[in-house]
Amino acid sequence: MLKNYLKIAFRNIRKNKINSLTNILSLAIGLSATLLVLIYVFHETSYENGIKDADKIYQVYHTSKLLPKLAKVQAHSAEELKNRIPEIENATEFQSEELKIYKGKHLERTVNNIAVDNSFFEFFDIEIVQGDKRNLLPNLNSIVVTEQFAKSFFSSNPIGQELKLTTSEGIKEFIVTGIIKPIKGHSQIKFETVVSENIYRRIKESNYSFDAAMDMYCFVKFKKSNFSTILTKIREFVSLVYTLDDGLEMGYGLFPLKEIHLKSDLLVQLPGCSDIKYIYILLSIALLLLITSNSNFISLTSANFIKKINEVGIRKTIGADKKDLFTQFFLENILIIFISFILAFVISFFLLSTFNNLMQIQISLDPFTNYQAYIITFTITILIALISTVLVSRIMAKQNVSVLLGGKIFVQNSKSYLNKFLVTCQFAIAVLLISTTIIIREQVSFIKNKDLGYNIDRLIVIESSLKSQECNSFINEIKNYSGIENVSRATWFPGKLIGHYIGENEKKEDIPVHCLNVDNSFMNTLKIKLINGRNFNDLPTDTNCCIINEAYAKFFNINNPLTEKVFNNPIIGIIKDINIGSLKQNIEPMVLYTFSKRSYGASFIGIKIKPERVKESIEFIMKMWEEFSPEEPMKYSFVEDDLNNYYTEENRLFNAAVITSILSLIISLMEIFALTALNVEKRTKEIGIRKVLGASVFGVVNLFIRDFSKWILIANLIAWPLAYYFMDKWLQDFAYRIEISWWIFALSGGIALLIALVTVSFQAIKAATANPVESLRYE
Amino acid sequence: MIRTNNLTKIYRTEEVETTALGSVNIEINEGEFVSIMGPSGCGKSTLMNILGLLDNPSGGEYHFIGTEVSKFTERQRAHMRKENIGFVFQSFNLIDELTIYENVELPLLYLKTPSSERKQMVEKVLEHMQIMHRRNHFPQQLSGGQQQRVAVARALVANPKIILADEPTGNLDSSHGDEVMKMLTDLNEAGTTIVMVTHSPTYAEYGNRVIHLFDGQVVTENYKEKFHV
Repeated sequence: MLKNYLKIAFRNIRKNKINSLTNILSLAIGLSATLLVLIYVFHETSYENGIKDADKIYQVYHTSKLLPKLAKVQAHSAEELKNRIPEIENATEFQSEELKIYKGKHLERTVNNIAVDNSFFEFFDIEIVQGDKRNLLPNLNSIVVTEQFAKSFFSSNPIGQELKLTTSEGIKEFIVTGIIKPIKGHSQIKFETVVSENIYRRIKESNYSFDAAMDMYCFVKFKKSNFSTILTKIREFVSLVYTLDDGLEMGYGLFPLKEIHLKSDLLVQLPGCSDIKYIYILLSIALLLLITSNSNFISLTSANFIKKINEVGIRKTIGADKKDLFTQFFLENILIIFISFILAFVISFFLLSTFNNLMQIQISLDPFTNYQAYIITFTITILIALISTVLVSRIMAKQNVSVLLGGKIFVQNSKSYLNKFLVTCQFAIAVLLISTTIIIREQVSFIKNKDLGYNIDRLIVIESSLKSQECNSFINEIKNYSGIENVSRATWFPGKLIGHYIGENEKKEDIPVHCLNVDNSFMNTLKIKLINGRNFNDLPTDTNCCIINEAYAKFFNINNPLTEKVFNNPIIGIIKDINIGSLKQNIEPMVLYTFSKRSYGASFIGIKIKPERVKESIEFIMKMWEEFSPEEPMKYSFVEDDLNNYYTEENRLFNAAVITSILSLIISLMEIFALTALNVEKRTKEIGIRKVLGASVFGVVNLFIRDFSKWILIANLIAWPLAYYFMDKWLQDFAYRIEISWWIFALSGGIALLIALVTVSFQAIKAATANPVESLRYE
Repeated sequence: MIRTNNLTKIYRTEEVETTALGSVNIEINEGEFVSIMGPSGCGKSTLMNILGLLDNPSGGEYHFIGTEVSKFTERQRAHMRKENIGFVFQSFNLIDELTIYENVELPLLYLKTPSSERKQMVEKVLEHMQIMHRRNHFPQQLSGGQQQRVAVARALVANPKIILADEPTGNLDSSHGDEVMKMLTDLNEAGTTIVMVTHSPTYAEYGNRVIHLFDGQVVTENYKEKFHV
């Protein structure tokens, strides 16, 4: 019997090519999106699952008024916490940094290195492949490498071999003393090489003060105690050991290890964190596509059923009961779904690299590692088959065999209402997505083109590790080159992190104030407008002076800035407000100092290059850099790219929205196309009679258009307020945003309607221009 | 084999009530070949649907092989149908997606006949109907006469007690019509009870009794002896 059902199902697919193809393709798109998104979701939510007792492990973070949540704490915190708080079972800390490996004098590659304490390997349950399990890092020059690194770097057994690394304390030679496996599964704690934290020779006694470096990631593992008890004890410990400075209210907090990857809001967190937001966005996208493609499937399957009424009648006449027919329809649906599932896998295979690029992730389609995603997708497919079978079977069950044999079933009205409802839902989703895409595009374009208060054309920035004098010599060497317009040194350029302190206004409110050190050419290089006073010059008195922005004067209510001071530093100029970072932030007060004052961050060299001389000028700069810093390759970037990095998320969202809108529209059009084909077939006799009675081609086409247009207009009315609501919420993230105007909705509705009409007309015209005698004869 | 008492069928819509059959009393014995005649709309097909257990009557009694079946559920009717009745329709009602062999095999599948036995039975009936050579063709590849032969083969394959034929020659030319009538007569002679609806007085003559219907009522019943007088 099963063979008979499958045979008939295959022959049906072959017979109704358009219908089957539409059904299979649209379902495959929906299933492919579901599969990819589920693999992504399981990948992202599986972080740290490989670590034993991960639920009991927390990251210790540092808090203060200046930096509300900092992922790094001072060295030896782990040991102190473990010794002082009995509820902590174990604690560890490590410093993570990218180091350069040298072979001879040549830079070989960079490596993810961590400097760890003695508990690290036991704490994270690291599997040791080779080496002394009790003492993996016996000496200060010991290094442990991962299996993968060992394979890629050494041709023979690496134990006892030498590795030359540049640490913050210069080039050091290490001897490999062990080989380990990385943390099982996906983890935020990534490393290729491991050294002892003692190489930094920290002196324990002098650590707990405001100026001590916060450079260790610290983790604690709880015994069975309650979270708040431990947190209170940690805070008591912090208040005991910290030298509190001017009421800065420093302290420690705890963040669950398993939530780091998706929910961390800590500054300088371990690299590679994602955002739970992406999980929600992608799940919504997959759900929308799945709803669209499934309603397509259900709608086409049930519409197609009308054509099979007679067959059902015959089968019932010769002995088929309800169970037989249910099994037959279920298997037919399962077959289509199964083919769609295979096609979904093929589509996913081709989309995988684009998806990985878009999400900046590396996932594979391997069914063994991603079995959960496959099981859920497969379960969804079975459910779709069941739903559509139940829908069709319910109609069948109500009918007498004699009615079915006549081929005319009395479900036309309710059936077409179901189809129209599903078409409306699909188009509502399509219009919602199109409007969303247009709004995101408008906002992205708005932020990219907004005047930030400075000019970044052909401006490159070099991260400078040169000492102050060397840096000045380097600048002097390059600034006279004919391809270079301007050169400047500063502790901030657009796209880089900026230093700040917390100021207090008259109302005793905390106000963050951005600070940077600049040279005399800074304003000229960035074309920042001075609206009052003067720029720095080489006067010796200028080393004590500062320049502020308009916002500073506004926030601190200064009427005559040129007569005022900032911390005893006379203000000599006021610049026009500039946006220092993303347009999600408002403009905040800013103070510019010369380099003779305390430094507010790393040093950068900004170089403005003349038009059409970019390539040769960069080559020249690189050549000069090699002379000044032969061991350190030049790290540079275009400011435009740095600023674009602020909007990676928006660009990603835009790309995802474009892809989803197109897919959703294609699926909806496929349904309209197939439904019109069925409709035309069903109404062949009516078209013939109408034509015999004098209907024009337009009149016949209008029959079909009128119906769909009405439902697409209703879809628009549903989609517009939803799109407005969601996008208005999204725009609230931006300090500078566009207004959502009516034309966006009109355009998206228009696009959907136009494409739908073209699709319907294509088939309707074919039917309307056919010879009426033909249609009447076949009826 | 078949006995009806005051059998009625009324179709109701929101506004109209149409009596398709009003108090029909007929009796058909095993081994008979009964023809039902009457003008269009007289209730012939409605009567056939009820006799074939494809539909329930609105009132009256219907005894089929000694069982009162007028109140049967669809499940009970389906069971009774597949075990006892073979159908032949005017429009053949073959499944286009199945080959001739598969179409004929279908009733046996629903009866869950074992595979080897099924094969024997199908081949036997195809040979008997002289369409074995067309076994792998699809219905559309056959002439009307051939399609009706397949339909008869399908009706026969499960050895039913009765064959209900609803205008089996309606879509055929005279030579193919004669051929189908000969087949039915042969079957009847071999012992199968046959009830046939027809418009044609000539083909009605093949039966040993003709029932005339008019406006949902039996108006006359002619036995062959009288019919030929």
